[in-house]
Amino acid sequence: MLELKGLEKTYLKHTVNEHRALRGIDLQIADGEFITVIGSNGAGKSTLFNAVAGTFFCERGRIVLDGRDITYVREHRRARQISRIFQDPMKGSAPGLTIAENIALAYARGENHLFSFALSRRKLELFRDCLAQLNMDLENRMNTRMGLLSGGQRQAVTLLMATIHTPRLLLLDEHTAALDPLTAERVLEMTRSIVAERNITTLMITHNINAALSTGSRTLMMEQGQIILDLEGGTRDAMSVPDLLAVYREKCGKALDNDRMLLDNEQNMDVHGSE
Amino acid sequence: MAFFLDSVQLGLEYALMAVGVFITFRILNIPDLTVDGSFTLGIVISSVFAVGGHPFAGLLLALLGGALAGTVTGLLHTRAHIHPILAGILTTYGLYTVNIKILGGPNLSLLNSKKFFDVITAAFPSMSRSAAQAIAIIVVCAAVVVILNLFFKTVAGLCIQATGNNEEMVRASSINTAAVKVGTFALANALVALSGGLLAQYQGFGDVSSGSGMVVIGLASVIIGEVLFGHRSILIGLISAVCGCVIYRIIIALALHYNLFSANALKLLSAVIVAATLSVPPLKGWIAGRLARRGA
Repeated sequence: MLELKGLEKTYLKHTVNEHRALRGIDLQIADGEFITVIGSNGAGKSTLFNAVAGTFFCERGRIVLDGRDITYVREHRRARQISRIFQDPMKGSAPGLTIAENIALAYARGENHLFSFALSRRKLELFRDCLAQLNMDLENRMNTRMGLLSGGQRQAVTLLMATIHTPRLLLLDEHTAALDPLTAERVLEMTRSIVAERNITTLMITHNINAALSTGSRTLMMEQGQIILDLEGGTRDAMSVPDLLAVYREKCGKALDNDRMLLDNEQNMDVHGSE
Repeated sequence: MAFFLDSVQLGLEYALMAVGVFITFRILNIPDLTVDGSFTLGIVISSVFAVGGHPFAGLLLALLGGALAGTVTGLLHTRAHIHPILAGILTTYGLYTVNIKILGGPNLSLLNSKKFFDVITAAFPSMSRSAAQAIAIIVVCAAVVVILNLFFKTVAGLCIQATGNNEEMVRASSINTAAVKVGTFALANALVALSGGLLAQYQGFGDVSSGSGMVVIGLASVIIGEVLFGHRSILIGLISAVCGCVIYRIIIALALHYNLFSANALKLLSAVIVAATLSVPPLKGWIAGRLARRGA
């Protein structure tokens, strides 16, 4: 259970460039919920994730995870319970280390055996089994440097790393946006199955409105640092992409200006059209 | 031949300093200028304790002193957010006073004091003093390389490598990267100070100015090692830092032997070696760009 109460964050406070990125976010997320988050550029989606992950502390508001107030818990401490994947496949792993070493680091999360061998035989077998589930033949390339993998492969391994110990909360920040459409669909499918299998509470930012409505159980729309729409259940099931765009126009008095969002929907139609 | 063996031994005496530089410069990816100060700190601590009749305690405390110096630089960098280069300069500058205070003057002779390698001559009375000295330094260097190689295979060692590679990802793995950096600075400078401590007992005197320019010698050694062995693994890296340091000494000894240049030119030459080697990758890129443009 994650609770956000009145979160506020302002960048460059008291300057002419002052920007109120979060303007009072209130949100309750039940265990096992899979929430998708959409919104135009600069709506505060990534800022919200940064706030929850602890990249910075908010000026106002509380963050409560499983009844524990983590508002002022530092980022690396929160990381024991909160996993995060970024849009840039390069961000989530160390390119100079091997696949096995990267997974070993993620596996060390929460374990306090600093001086145990990172790649014991027992761990290597475990990593091999996990990698085999990705169906990318990576289990036979465990000593390959991460930097030599493709973006899709890296993002798949990052997903494995983020969930090797089941996190209390999984934050996905457009984690398929930098991949080509087919790979993106594959990584998204992997994400859906892992999240469902282990019932992980998940927040996923996406610019793909189709995916936002078809993935998970609840959809949030953000605009100017606020949550302007919270869809779930029957209302959400009945909502189509044009409906959602219309709602946005009505609420904000302008069209959804995320160019990538529109481009991607066209691409998706192409992909689906050719299938 | 004798002068060749002498420079190999001298190289090994400095080798752990080069290994320390390798750890910060290549593994953690942050150049650390504390080396000049912590090397001298090792010299003065080891000298003072050797004169007092405790050569082993001298080496151990040199190790700890170096770790403390590294911790100061690490904290200045991670807590006070001072640029690592400036943090190292500040620590070194401050250490100058500390070093003179510990030594009680600018230099100290250890001529008649017990040294740590006397243990070997005591155990094997038939062995010559120089053989005992050589064996002692080889054993110390080998032991340090083996221990470090094991350490870098542990989770903690992996954290250091990853922090030098992608800090953000390490933080996301719930590891405190600030602590990792402070720990690495401490480890590296402990080795540097140990090297200074060994050197003081070998050369039979301690001098507060022997550390100046040490970081450049360390970098030169690391780079020479890399040119010869390439960067492949941690173990190869550690060994190549040791070998690079030995080869550096041999080059210098050869040049001096054949009067290629005066001893005064050493520092300039070292600086040129480091600067030239570090500028090879961008130079390669520039040449490749030129060739591509001509081809187009």
